[in-house]
Amino acid sequence: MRLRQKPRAALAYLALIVPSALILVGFLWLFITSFSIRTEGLRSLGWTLSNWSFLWKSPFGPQYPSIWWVTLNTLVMSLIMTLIVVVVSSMTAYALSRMKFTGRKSFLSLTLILHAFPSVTLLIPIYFVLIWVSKIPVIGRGVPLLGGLGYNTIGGVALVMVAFQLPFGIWVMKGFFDNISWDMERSALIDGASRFRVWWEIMMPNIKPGIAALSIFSFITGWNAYLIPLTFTAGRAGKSAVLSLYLQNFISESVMTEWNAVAAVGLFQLIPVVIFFLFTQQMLLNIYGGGKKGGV
Amino acid sequence: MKIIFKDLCKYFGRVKAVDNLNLEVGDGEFVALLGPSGCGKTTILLMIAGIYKPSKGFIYFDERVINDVSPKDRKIGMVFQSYALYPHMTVLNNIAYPLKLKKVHRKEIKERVQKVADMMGIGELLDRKPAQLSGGQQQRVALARALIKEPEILLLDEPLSNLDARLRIMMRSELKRLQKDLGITTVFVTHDQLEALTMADKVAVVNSGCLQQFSGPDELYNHPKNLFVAGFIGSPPINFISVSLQKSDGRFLLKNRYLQIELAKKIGSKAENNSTSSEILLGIRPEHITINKKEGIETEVYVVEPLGRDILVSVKLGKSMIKVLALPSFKANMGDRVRLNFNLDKIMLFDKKSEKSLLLDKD
Amino acid sequence: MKRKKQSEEGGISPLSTFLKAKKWSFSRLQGRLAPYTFLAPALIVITLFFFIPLVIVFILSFTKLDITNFGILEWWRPANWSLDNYVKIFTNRFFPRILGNTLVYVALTLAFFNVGMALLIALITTHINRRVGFAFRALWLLPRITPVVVYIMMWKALAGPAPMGIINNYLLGPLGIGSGEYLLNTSPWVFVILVNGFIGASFGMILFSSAIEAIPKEYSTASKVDGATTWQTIRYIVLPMIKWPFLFVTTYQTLSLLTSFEQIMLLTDGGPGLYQTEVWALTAYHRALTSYFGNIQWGYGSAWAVVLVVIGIIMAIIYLRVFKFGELVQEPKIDRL
Ligand SMILES: Nc1ncnc2c1ncn2[C@@H]1O[C@H](COP(=O)(O)OP(=O)(O)OP(=O)(O)O)[C@@H](O)[C@H]1O
Ligand SMILES: [Mg+2]
Repeated sequence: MRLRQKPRAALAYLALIVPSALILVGFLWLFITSFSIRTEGLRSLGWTLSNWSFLWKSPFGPQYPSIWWVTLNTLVMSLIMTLIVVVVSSMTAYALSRMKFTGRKSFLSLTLILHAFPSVTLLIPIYFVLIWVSKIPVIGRGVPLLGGLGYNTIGGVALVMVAFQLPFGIWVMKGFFDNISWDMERSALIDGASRFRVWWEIMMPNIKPGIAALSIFSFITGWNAYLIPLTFTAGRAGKSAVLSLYLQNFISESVMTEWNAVAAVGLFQLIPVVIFFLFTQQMLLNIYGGGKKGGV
Repeated sequence: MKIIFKDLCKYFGRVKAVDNLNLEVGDGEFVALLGPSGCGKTTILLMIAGIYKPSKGFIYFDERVINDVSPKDRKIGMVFQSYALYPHMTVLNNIAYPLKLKKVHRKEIKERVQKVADMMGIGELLDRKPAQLSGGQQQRVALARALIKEPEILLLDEPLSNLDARLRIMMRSELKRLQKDLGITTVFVTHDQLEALTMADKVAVVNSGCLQQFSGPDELYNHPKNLFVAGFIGSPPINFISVSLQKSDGRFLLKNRYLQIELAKKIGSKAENNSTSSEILLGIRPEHITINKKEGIETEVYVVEPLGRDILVSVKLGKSMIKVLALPSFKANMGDRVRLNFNLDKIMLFDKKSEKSLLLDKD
Repeated sequence: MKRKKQSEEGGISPLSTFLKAKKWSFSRLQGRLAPYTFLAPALIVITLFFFIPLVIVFILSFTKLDITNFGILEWWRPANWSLDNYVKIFTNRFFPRILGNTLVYVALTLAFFNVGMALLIALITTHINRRVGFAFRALWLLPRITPVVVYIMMWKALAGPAPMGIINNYLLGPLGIGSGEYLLNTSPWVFVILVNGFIGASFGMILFSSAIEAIPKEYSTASKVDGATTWQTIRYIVLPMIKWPFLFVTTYQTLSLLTSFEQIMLLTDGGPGLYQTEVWALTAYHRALTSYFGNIQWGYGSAWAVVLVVIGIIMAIIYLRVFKFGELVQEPKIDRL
């Protein structure tokens, strides 16, 4: 029996370790390459810092925004998106989890449908919606820093990201709300709190792990976003560019892609995520901590 | 403030949690809701609090129907079974929360919290978080939070069930005293009959959503209205013996294969009038039976359990078991033949079908 | 009769009955409206980015709207609607290839990674040292949180030609396999599946491992006492107990894969040969939102997208049925007065 079991176990471990190693090798390559003149496999053919020159000198020429402007764009977009996602999904999830109202069941099913719904397939019409929003005065184009909420603005991109992230957020948050004791909420209502205060003062402080997990996840999603900024901003290295676009632009702009320089930009985008991740992986692995039903 | 329930019902889907409840809690009264787990006690309390909406019927505070009044406008304080303290707030903020919501001035809040906390003996704990408190301390914090807004009605949902036995007995008398001092109308939920009987002015016994009896502890103990109340109240529990009520030559006899008891005329005729058939149940509490070796109903000792103050003797009468409380001086071994005498003033008679007591005046 | 009862107990009565009710007050009205205040922001976002687009995409799919007639064609007029786009899809010369690609892509990625690998990781990491297990799971979360452009870049490096490419250099070269060419050109499908699979595995991994950890320890202990091998324990105890998460991950990820194209777009962009790795969703994107194939054809692209949308809606409704969603919903334990 033992003999029969051993090769099977060994095979299983092998099937786990080999692909895992592949992930690590990828990251290692990125690191080595960004500090090398040239690489062969994982071997550096000479070390250099020149790949990092994009930090002080725009590689595309002065008419393009600098990396720092792009980073700021990305940061603003991710933060705004995170904030809205967390607030809106926890408000919605609270109502869905804890309040009786006409249409509750339908709304719950709707969230589930939207969660499983292929939102990317809606990119085409959303393009039209954003163009339409652009035409609304002030909201459309005139907001400082965000540019506005319409097409080709940081705000507009953030809003679309929010929409795509929302069903997931509601789902995660509802799981956390479901686990809070009813007596605590009843007690607050008897103490004289309105539902709004109960939500903000009693419930929110008690689902901090959920808020943290969702915030981290949303922020990383925003920071990494590619497809939506690509689709809804004009010109890949324009004023509203985000890091992913900047990087992709770098890859396709140069005739002979300078992989070493590109790797440096990639690493620049990746480092904050990895640092963030190292501190919060536990939380991310528990993102479904609320919903114990295995997804439903 | 008076609380009146009129035809009150609460359904959860197909479950009838509360069924046609009619009850009046007088101003300043301390009333216990007593019943087995799941009988609807908490549901009744939550309807008073305004958390659950009655499916049918009305709740009055004094003369006012409050079915649609929101919890915050009901002037109630409630202590939950789980205490439901806010884990992220300090004890101080927990107690202050109701006042903060009423926008009471900060200085006044501080004074009032200190006063209530001192009264409850938790003045030293104000900076701690609930997780750093013992069960007894948490309970006091919950009570302080319920009392700080000076409610007109106090609702307590099994407030003692999470405490250890010693603390529970201590808190029993303290709560009773507190209630009398403050004179707040109080509804207290428990499934512990001793708690209900010792603390409350009146006890409402509830079973599967229906009110069984509402009366003072004495009445409840000595004149239960039905089989359920008789069986539920009293520890060790009452003995039920199946007998038939017979009338011969103007004498009333309770008879079965093993015993024959003659009833007083008054009791006998009342029972006869009330009963639907001659097959009835005789109820007698263990302390109302005396045991000796000379005269009475003949039985055999099954087991003897010393309880400290007295001993509990189980004897076999035919196939059924009868429990008897005897003095510690009584010595018996398993299998001994012993004889029983029933205190005829204390016996209860119940109809087998309707389960109602046969000794009540018809109304 | 039945309906009446429901409205009594749940307080679920529409606004009209509420207004008809004799007693109503401001605070009661406020109580009724409170839930909708909480829902309002989400409702706005959902309307703006799901409902309206859903309607638009359906309409667009019947029109010939493209960059040349934008602003001229009145696409909202039924007179300008026709089924031409759909006919065009199904008579397209590459239609069979694209359909085949999509099926192969979804089936293989799902089997090997999103479910297969996910299950493998979950099983192994829950049966070894806790910390090591956690480290492995964290590692497998990395592909999902890595910026997609960076992630694809890494894979391109892994697949690179002989002296530079890592796989060629350290794996295939020493083994004497292949000619050292750029692997994305020689075997693009392998990489399409690997790239997507590495990201996709983490979803199932998280759900499976928490489901496995939720199985009471007594079960596996009992089966060990009965003399079962680890494999037998897994086969007869663990797998049956994670049936629901398994079904959920499978169906849910099918849909995710069916509509994902971001990675493929960055990796091969449908190439290297003509439509060699082009999948359905990518076609929709290419047609409608890039000028890669000539004109930007919103109408035609929408038709491609609508097919996916319809599949999405049908599958989502099936979820609700299969997972008996209606029965899982719990009633709130605070009534509305
Ligand atoms: N929100 C609810 N939804 C559905 N059923 C409920 C709800 N609350 C209570 N019930 C049911 O109603 C019945 C009475 O419950 P309740 O909590 O009032 O019992 P209880 O007497 O307080 O019991 P315990 O002593 O265990 O606390 C039970 O059968 C319970 O399952
Ligand atoms: Mg209870």
